[in-house]
Amino acid sequence: MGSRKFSAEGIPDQQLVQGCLEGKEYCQEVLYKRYFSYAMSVCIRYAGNQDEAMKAVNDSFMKVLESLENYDPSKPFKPWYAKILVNTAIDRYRIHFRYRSKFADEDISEDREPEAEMDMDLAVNDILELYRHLPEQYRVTFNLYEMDGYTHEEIAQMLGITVSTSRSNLARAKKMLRELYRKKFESVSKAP
Amino acid sequence: MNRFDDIFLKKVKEAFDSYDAGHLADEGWKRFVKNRRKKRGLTLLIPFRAKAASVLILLFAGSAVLYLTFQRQKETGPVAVRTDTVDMKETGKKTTRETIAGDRKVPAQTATFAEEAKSTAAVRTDMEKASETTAGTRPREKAARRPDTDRYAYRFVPAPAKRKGGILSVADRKPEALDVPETEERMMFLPEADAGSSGKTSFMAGVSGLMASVEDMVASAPGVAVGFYMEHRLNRSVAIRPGLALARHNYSLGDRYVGDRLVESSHDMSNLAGTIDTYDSHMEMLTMEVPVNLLFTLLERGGKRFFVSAGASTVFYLDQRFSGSYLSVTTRENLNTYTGEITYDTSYRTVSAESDHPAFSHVDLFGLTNFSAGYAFPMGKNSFMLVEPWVQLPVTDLTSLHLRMRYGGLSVKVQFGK
Repeated sequence: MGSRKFSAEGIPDQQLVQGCLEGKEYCQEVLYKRYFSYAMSVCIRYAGNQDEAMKAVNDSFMKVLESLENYDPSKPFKPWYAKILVNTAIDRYRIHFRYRSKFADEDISEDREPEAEMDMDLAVNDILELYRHLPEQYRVTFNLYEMDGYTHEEIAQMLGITVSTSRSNLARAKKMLRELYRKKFESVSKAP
Repeated sequence: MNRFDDIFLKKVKEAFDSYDAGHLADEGWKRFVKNRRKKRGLTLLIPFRAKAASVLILLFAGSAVLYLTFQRQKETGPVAVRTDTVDMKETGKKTTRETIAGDRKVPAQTATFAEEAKSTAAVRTDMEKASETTAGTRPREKAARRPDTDRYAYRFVPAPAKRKGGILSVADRKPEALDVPETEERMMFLPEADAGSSGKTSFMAGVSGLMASVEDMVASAPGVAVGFYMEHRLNRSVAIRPGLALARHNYSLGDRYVGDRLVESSHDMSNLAGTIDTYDSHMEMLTMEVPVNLLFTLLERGGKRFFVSAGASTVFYLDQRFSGSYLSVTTRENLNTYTGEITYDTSYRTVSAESDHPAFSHVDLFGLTNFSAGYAFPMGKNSFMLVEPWVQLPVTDLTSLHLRMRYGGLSVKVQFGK
């Protein structure tokens, strides 16, 4: 445990999964650490900060260990784990932010938007900074749709909202991100 | 999707794909292992289903033991008179006598003392025969034959005064007929168990200091409970202890879970838009708890004893008050209709919410499982002091806000009677 050095590079996921099923803690640790960065990258999008993201990662890995028997070893581990990660993040979102944002559901017309230029690279912290200003539901909808590839129907079901609300939330999230980006970074990028 | 969105999305994906949190992996794993041990300990000890099952089993076992105990008491109490015919060798007559099990009434006698004394064995034998042959034989008689029922041993009772109806009394007996020692008075079949039954039940009063954990947060202030209990010993090592306790809970919590549920339950907050950023919740409760526990004495020596107990509690809520203050962050968009420009204003607002629930508005039926271990020692002539650490774990979500609460504490009780 801890900062133990691993010579586990060559061990395939399926073998680690088998080891986990047999209750070998070594295999669990290797599997956990192998996908830790990936898991954090998923969870931090939903959680907004590192600490909450780590809690979500740990919750999801617990679920992984509990439901490994349902995992089909003929399929790659990562997408299966990704689904658990997203579901865990959504569960935490549901528990923590149950009430609904009361933003109006008016239609968003994209052509009103001033075109912003996008000419600089973004770091995770920059994105999180932008995310921080997004209402929770917008951020979750944006992540689910744009980043994790869920449909509006699926999002509506997951979040307990209507399909049109999901669409509206996504449009608003994008609009806000554009505006926030423009405010925050355009002046930086144009600076000499 | 416009060009900005395409590029932005691409860059966001790139940023997250290249996100490297490897330096946090060790810390994450440590936390994971720590959490898992904590969770596994509880889960192995009492997973949710096992908790529910154990409550049912305990209730079933308790009910069964109680039923059997009461049945046994019924059987050893006053029962109907059974008439036995005893062949009396001395008189050569057939004598009818009434055999009373545990009755306070002295029956009519038609046999001499000597005959009775001599025929004791015969009566017993006869009883055995009768118990085998008579339809509707009472278990009491079976109990009389069991070697482990010494407390039902026959004992002497004073003879009744001269009776009416020509029935012979002590004075009427001829001395020659009394060929047994004078000490061998007439024998009646009275159980001695009755004398001991009052010592099986004792009463106690106690006070507990308790701490609560709401969801995953430990409350910063303790609560207090006072209670009265009855302990009924079912056998040497097992006792059942029902009770009634009043508990005052007063907790301050900075827990978001409470906040969320309070937000949902409070009309003041239903129109709030935005994100709730920080929470400061407070809860006050007055509860009436009805615990039913089974006690198992592990070690008993010199009046001191170690015991463990397990059971379940039903909680009636006499008063529930939840309050909270929340910092809400609201982002609003403003559209300038002339320029088409949209600006966003972020405002911070502190909102207070309260949620009161009247008495008996919520009951958690067997909502808590109780576990305790204790030490009892004599205090005074006929009383004991009990020191008993305990925990209560939820079977279901508790209170009107459906919170996952756990309690733990130390109770000190004074037991009156052995």
